[in-house]
Amino acid sequence: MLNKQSRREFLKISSTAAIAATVYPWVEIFGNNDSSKKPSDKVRLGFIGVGVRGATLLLNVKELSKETNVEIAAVCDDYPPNYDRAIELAENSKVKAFVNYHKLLEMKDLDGVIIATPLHEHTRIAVEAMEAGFHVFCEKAMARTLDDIKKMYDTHVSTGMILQIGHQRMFDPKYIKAIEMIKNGEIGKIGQIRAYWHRNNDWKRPLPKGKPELEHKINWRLYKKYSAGLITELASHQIQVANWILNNAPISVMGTGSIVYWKDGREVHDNVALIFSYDDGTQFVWDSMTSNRKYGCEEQIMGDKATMEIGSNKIFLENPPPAPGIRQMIHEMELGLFEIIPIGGATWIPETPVKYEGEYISDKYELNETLLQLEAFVNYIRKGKAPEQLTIEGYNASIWSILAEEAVDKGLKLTMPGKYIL
Amino acid sequence: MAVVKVHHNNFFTMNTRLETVFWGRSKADCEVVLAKIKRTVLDLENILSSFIPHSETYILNKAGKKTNIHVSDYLFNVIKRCSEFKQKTLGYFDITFNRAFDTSPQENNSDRVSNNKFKDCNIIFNEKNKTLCFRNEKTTVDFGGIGKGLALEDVEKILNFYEIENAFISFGESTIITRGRHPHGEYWPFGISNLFKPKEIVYSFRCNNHSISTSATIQNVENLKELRHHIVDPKSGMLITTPKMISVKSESPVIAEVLSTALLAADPKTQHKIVSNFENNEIIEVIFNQDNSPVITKLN
Repeated sequence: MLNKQSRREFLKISSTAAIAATVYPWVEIFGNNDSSKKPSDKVRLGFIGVGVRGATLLLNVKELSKETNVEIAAVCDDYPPNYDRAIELAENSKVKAFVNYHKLLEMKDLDGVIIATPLHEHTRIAVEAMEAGFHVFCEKAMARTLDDIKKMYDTHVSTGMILQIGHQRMFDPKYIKAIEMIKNGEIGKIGQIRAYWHRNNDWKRPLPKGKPELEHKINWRLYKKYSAGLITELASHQIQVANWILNNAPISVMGTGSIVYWKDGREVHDNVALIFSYDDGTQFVWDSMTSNRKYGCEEQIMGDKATMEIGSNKIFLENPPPAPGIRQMIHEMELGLFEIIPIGGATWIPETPVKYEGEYISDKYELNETLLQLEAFVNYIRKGKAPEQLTIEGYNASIWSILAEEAVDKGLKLTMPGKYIL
Repeated sequence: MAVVKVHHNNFFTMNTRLETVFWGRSKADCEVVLAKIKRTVLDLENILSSFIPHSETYILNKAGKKTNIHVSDYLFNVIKRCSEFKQKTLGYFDITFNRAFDTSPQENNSDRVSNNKFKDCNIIFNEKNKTLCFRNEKTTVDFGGIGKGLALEDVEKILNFYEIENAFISFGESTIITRGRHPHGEYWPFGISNLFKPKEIVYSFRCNNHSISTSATIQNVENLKELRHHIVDPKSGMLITTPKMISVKSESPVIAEVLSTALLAADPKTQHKIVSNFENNEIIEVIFNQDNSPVITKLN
């Protein structure tokens, strides 16, 4: 969990980066005290959807409340076990609990809502919340259809309410450091980004005994009506990372998918491969499966000078720096000096396999990026607005997730229809 | 003085880093040459490595016990050549004697000999069928003492093919080859560092189209709290504890590596005999006194 020392480290990163304003403007909030709401004013949040992810968000806000003036004011879930657990987790005798989200949105003393319902429910809740005057933090992906995504964005613009989508990597210090290094040219010209997310587990959650009618409610991620499966639940994160790195959105996507392993009646693919193309020729190749976890989750950013594996916090130089003696020799040669070149500190050691292990992108401290993004949301609420780029990142990641699903389903290479271009 | 553009690159291979330094050619030319070098050396590593499971050497070591194993012409000829070097070095260069088999502090010299690890390790060659057979089932081959020289021999061919006139190629700074000259002198000036005081040069070589290989009985000790001995006398099986090093300048990186390896373990009389079997080399032995001061002897 975030502590003061590590938070200071994060603030140091975000405040010293010369390019922060253009590359990750949403991080500036941590060093910005300009606020329409005083820090002493309590930010009151309502949670709509407190399943596994929603409960995680709730616990993070509870942790945040120990050092920030924020309160879990309300919780809402129409599934009784989630409803009961949320009340218990909130540990706040004043927390109001609802089964129907409309009732929560009728509260007058909320500042914002956090939405972590199944994907297909995001739009109507988020739109109603913004229209009711609440700032919104919504889990990714934004919505189940292109039109719904656009509707959410348009409502954010027309109401002026904050719409932050839960792409927590945008607040992960190692990603921020990596982006900064990339923008400084340290990996050179990027030709390809490769990302993957491999798991070896069943997404199908067990149902309460004797309640088969809950299958779609509990396992909504497995059915096309509610989710695009791996694409909306996993790829959307890495599409956001690729867009962020390239400071661009794709121009086309194609892909394929199949159910190769979990043949249990689910409708979404358990095996997907996508290729996104950008206007400068860069390709973003993404794949995912759920019956092998050897390669795990990673983003590989391949430039002509280096490769970054951001998830592993590693950078692998194409041309590692020379050994000290060689470096000195090159330096002297370029200075016009003719000096003896020291060699022969015999380096022979019993041979064992070695390989270049790369270098670390950032210091190895770990921060809770989920908590950081929620802290940012609270701070944006105090300020009354968030950087527009924050919302656009979520928008593009979601639009291209849904387009990717369509490309897979139709077997076509798709571009973005003009009406969705911001 | 005109500014000299130096082109440097490196990559990891054979347990160390291969560094290339070119001058006098365009960056594009150098990148073409580097790509060829990299492909060639990595291909070679995939043949000679004892650690890469699909390498020909790895497979041979697993399968060659008292059985005729067919190997590629390249590997056959390399092992044959090593066998000839074994004869010329009076047994002190021996790819079937794994110098690194155990240098752990727990095993003393008498244990090492009594453990019967030091045995007759001859190989039976069948020229007609290009097959090899290890006489002793404990035998393996290890190119640790010559692999870099073989790789640099191939690198020389590449440099010649692409007409690279001025170059410096280093394999972990213990084996190097040069072409031409330093941009500001008539030769490449190299200094052999004192193992105990790396900034102190104990001997210098002048190189044009040459190779230098250095072997030592201890690892570079600048950052070590205690000496680490790792060379075993292939004749006796005894760990060599005298801190010393051998540096060889030769026209051939293979010869330089073979001699720097063999002469390290041999006694002075045998050293003289071995050196007489090889021509046109500049060889020094550096023995370090207790105060780490070097005593330098030219062996040819």
